Parts: sequence; structure tokens; C-alpha cells
Amino acid sequence: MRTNDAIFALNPSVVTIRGDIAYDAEGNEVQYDKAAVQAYVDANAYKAKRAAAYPSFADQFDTIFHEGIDAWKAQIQAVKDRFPKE
Amino acid sequence: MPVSTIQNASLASGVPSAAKLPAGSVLQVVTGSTSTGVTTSGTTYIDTGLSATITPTSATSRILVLIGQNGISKGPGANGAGLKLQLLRNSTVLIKIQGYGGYTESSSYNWVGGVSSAYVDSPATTSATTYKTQFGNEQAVAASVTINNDASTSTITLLEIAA
Repeated sequence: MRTNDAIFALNPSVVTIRGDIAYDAEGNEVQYDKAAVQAYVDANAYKAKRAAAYPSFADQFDTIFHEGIDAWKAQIQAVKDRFPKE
Repeated sequence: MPVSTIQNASLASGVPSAAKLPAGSVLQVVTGSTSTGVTTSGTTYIDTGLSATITPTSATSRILVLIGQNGISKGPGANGAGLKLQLLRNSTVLIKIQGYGGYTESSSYNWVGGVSSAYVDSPATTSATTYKTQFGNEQAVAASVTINNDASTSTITLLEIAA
């Protein structure tokens, strides 16, 4: 997760971020907690790692068709185990 | 007339002035760039920070605008986000360069990369003229769009072309 997406997630009034300065819909600067933003990024880092490691949908469907649901679940679980929630 | 017959004395200070150059000649080049990332979830167009200002030497000149808007991406959070991008001369919209950039029917990230465009303008002025880009989100959804992602550099080049 990018820092900007964490800022949006934690600060609903933010509409635009220019550099590291956040603004609301009226263009007023919005102060945000940078430590909380970094913590949010760190806590969600596993999502991007898992997303990059999962097989494509086509490959997953192929696994289900040829090897069954249990084989598919094992394949997916291996990725989750490799990148656990922090 | 063969070039060898032109005498320096017939030219101002020995160098052809803009007025003496043939149509199609490049009279001046101006560039601009930015690598400041900007992200928005709003549908209102905002400045990307990419701009350049040129002062044409003649009101009949044309301006070739070359744009490389880089680091475009769509953020996560909701379906329906997509980047719209437009080119302006001062406050006048010239063209819409991009619509729904990065759009997917999912809420995940989409890294588009860059968008380039070329536009020939006839500003009909000898006053300082600013060309810039603006962007926004196509739809009011809880997802953002970004330019100059990860410090990518966007560039704009203006060439004044003799008429």
C-alpha cells in the first residue's frame, strides 16, 4: 500500500495530496498523523505481497479444473503462510 | 536561391532573425518538468504541476506542445476510478488527453505508466502563454488516481514554429 492511499483511508476529508501535503475538497490543508499513516502502511503491506504472489485467475481455475479444490486451497494457503498478516 | 548566395550583410547581425526564417522553422524551444506526485479522489480537474510558458515571437506562429505525463496509476478502494487528463492554454481547455486512465472493474491497483500527446496550437499572441495539464478522477468513488507516482518525471516541451 502506498502512503497516499493510507492517508486517504485514515482521513476521509482528504481529496488531494500534492507531494506530502493533503487537502480537502475546498483546497484547505488537512493535517494528518504521519506515524499512524506509516503504521497503516506497514500493517497492510502483506496484502500487496500476497496479491503479487497469487497465481493468475486463469491458472487458479486451471488448478481447480485439473487438480480439484483441495489442491487450489493448498496453493493459496502457501501464499498466505509465506506472507502472514503482521 | 542557393544558400551560398546569401550575404551576412543582408541579415541582422549575421544571424537570421525569426522573421527571416522559412515556414516550419523552429524559432524557440521551452521545456518544463515535475516529479512531485499528486493524488486525488476528486472529480474536479486540478493542476498536475506540469507547465511551461512561452512568449511567441510572432502572432502567426504555431506552438507544438509535446507532453509526457508519467507515473499514472489508479489506487485501490472502489471500482470505477479512472484518470482524466486535459491540456490547457492559460485557462482555456485545448484537448482532453486521457479518459478513464487505469480504469478496471475491480478495486485493486492499476499501474498505467505514461501517457504522451502532441498538439499544435495557434495562440495568435505575442504575450507570455502558459501551457499546462490538469487531471482528476472520472467518477466520484472512494478510490484515487495519481500522476508522477514514485517520483516519476513528467515533461512538457513547447516548440514555436514559424508560420
